[in-house]
Amino acid sequence: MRDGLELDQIDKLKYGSDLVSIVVDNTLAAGMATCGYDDEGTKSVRADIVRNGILVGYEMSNDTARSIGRNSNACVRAQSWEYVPMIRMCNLVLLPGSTPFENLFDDVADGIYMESNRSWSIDDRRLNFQFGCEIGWEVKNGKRGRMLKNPTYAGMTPKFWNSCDAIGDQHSWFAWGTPNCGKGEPMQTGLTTQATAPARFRNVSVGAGYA
Amino acid sequence: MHSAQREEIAKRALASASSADEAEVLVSTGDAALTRFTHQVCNQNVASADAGISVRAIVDKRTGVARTNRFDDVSLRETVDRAIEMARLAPQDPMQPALPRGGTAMAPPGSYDPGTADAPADLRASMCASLFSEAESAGQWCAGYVSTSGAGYTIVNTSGANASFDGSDAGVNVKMNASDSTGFAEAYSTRVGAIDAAEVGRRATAKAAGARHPVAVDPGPWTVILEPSAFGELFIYLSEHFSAQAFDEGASFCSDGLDRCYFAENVDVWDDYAHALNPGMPFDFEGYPTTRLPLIEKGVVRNVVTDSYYAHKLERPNTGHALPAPNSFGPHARNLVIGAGTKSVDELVSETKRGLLITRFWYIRTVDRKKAVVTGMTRDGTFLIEDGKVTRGVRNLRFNQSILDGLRHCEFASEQKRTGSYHYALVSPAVKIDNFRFTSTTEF
Repeated sequence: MRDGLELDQIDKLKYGSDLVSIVVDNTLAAGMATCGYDDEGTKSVRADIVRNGILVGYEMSNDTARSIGRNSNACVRAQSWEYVPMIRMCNLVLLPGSTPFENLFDDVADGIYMESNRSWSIDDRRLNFQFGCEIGWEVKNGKRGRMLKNPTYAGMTPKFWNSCDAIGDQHSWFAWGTPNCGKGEPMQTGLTTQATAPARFRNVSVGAGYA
Repeated sequence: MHSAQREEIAKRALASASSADEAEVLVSTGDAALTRFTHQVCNQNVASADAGISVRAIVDKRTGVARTNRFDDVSLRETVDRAIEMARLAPQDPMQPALPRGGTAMAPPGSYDPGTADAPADLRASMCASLFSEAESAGQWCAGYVSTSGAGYTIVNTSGANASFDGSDAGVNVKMNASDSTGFAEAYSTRVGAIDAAEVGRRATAKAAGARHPVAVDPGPWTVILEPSAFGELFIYLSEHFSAQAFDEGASFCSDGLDRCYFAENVDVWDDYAHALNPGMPFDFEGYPTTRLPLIEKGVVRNVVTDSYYAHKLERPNTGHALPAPNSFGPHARNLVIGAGTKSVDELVSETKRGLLITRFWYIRTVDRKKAVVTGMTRDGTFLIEDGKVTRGVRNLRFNQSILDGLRHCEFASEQKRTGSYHYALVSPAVKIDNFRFTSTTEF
């Protein structure tokens, strides 16, 4: 069964809107997974994953890269010396857009600005997701309004990214991260970065937790 | 490392802690092995043997903890000195009680099997082979693991506690893959010989075969029958609510008061380290004997679990549920047992006009802590029940559900199983819940 990101989708799948470009950058100055060389000894690089909305690559190890005729982009990590090194998410970067932060609210008649993601759940194909945030604000006619507690948003991954119609500029971009990303059997935890600016998405399902 | 060796090391460390008001030494050892497979090939076989010492020093009601994995006299002394130094720098906690004196605690029968703790790779490989054979017979492929482990703990302190325990564990966890469906099965025991890998494989292949060509169903409220793997994954999110720390901080659903009815009358939950399906350590990480404790009786929450700190702070009995210091969780119910009903799963199915039979959940996360609302996905065996019969597989769904609400309208099956892999372990029957709330679907 497929999750939609198979090899035959490279250079074809419209993963996100034209504004969406994602790179893996394990040289990122502020990255939690930044290192000179990964745990296979491959020198860290910056490599495209999604370019202008099109899926163009993967985070890779030596064996997975070789199996598709590419070079590793140094995404192998082990929790510590006694664990098996494995391919995993490292510094994943949504490149900043051109919209100043405050202008993200322009042209929003009825929306929610969400902050402080604190809960994440996604199916085993990484398609059906739901995230919960600690805090949010109503947006009415381009203005931030009352504060909201425990807002949630949900959707299907490619549809969500294709609904992105604005990404904050460099000034609002920040290298967020997770210190305890879990993967593998036996479980290993790893440091990961998700560097982003605030972004605007249209027609997203919200509030499923309390519907 | 035998318990006598652990005790000798622990006492040697404790002897160098005379400048602390009080001190505690935890010596832990673990041998863990896991053989992982995919597509009928063992692609990872790992085994680790580790040991560590944790020293807790208390000086003027200030606490410091330091660790090492070196057992020579110099390293032990340095670790104790570090713990004392950190204690002196830590803020004072007026509520810090004296370390508990310990007591008598007998390991329950079946908690340790040397053949499991020292199981060779060949044994795990032969169990994998049984799973592979079942997969190939069914025209499927499988992925999963077989694990075996042993662990030992010794805790001594300056109040006189001296407790040692050795435990073992084994598990089989497999997902069978058919053309457009998957099936999951698991089995865990403290004795690897009690696990029939082929039987586990057959359960998983039957799930995958039965779920072929899944159809979409609409989200919304459904009657569900959750098998133990699914219900265990759900219920474990309630376990933190039974911690005296969560209770005290107002973060538990029962913070408003004990001896109140929060669930249906048929809900009974204990913490029981001596249950035959999940026998475990009879004392906690302060060396204090653990009480076999009713948490929910006929829907009424009777107890939260405590350690010495929260027993003192809340003026409740110490139930012996401390985790290793320091931790941010407070005391923890480690051996949950959910009471059984009287009907078989087949009877629960036969009494269901229209519903879903769910093998397992995946990636459950908290949406609203106090209300115990969680979200997650079905996975690896979700079936439609029509007119009392399991008729076909359905595509997976996402739920948003309050565990509290779910257990206000429920009926438990009669057979309990152990579930939870090595991340947690609990004993649970299957359960039927009305109006379980699904909020979205998938294409698979």
